[in-house]
Amino acid sequence: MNSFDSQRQDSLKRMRPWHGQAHHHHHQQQISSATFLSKIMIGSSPPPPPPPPPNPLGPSPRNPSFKLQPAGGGFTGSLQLDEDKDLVSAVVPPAVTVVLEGRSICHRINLHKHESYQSLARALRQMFVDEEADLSLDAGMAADDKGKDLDLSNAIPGYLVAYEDMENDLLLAGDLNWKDFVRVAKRIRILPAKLNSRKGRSGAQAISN
Amino acid sequence: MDGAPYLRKMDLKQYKSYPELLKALENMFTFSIGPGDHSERDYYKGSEYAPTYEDKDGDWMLVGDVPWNMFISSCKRLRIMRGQEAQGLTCL
Repeated sequence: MNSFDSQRQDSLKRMRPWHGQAHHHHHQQQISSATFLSKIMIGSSPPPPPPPPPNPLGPSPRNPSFKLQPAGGGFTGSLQLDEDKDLVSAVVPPAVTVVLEGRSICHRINLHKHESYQSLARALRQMFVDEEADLSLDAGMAADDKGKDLDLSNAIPGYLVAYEDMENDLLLAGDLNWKDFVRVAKRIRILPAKLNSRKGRSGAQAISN
Repeated sequence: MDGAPYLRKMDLKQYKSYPELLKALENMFTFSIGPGDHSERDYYKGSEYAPTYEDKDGDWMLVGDVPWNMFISSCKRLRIMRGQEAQGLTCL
């Protein structure tokens, strides 16, 4: 899988061989048509980002980013991709995959729909924590309830929020400012927090053994 | 940090000197670089950890060799080495 990812990244840097790539990242297909359009519509004003595509893994009614989308999912007009003339840096996936460690089914989230880490924390909480809660609980109400003191560190109890950046490093989310984070995050990984405790103490213990 | 499950991002310009940076690293990763007040170059001795950095040429150097200003402009990645690799460096 690692070689796959590096291939994908290499192809991002060179050209746009979106067609014929048998990846499960269907949102790339959305981007390919988006960039095709952006070449034609040069000079249009920076617009809202294109909405994420339908979830290929099946309907996910509780996913907040999909609730906000119109049913058609078409482009609203001009695209954000022509902000950068450089095609390489313009290729930012509008929606990133969110993987909860241990689960086989992932979610998608559109980072551009959020304006801060706290907003993201709220969305992650809705995505993963409120699923286990009462299904009839309205996601909007849950957000109001729990959003008061919510941040990335307590969004999903027992887990911490990390992300993969453009260089395929796994980093703890929260160090960068929000805008930089949105720019570099390729995928979000929710890791069990017990890994955290191994990091400090057991690192030293291993030395003394 | 060797052994850590994930990496961290740091803005080096926040710090004005090596001792400040090392203190911040110790706090962030909860390890100890060594005894002393971090003002001497030989504080690495006796520690299982050696802070190293990758410069623009891709070489891994021991943190503290070059003047601070030169360091923050050339450092691309920091790596806290531990174990055998660290011992090799601190013995220099």
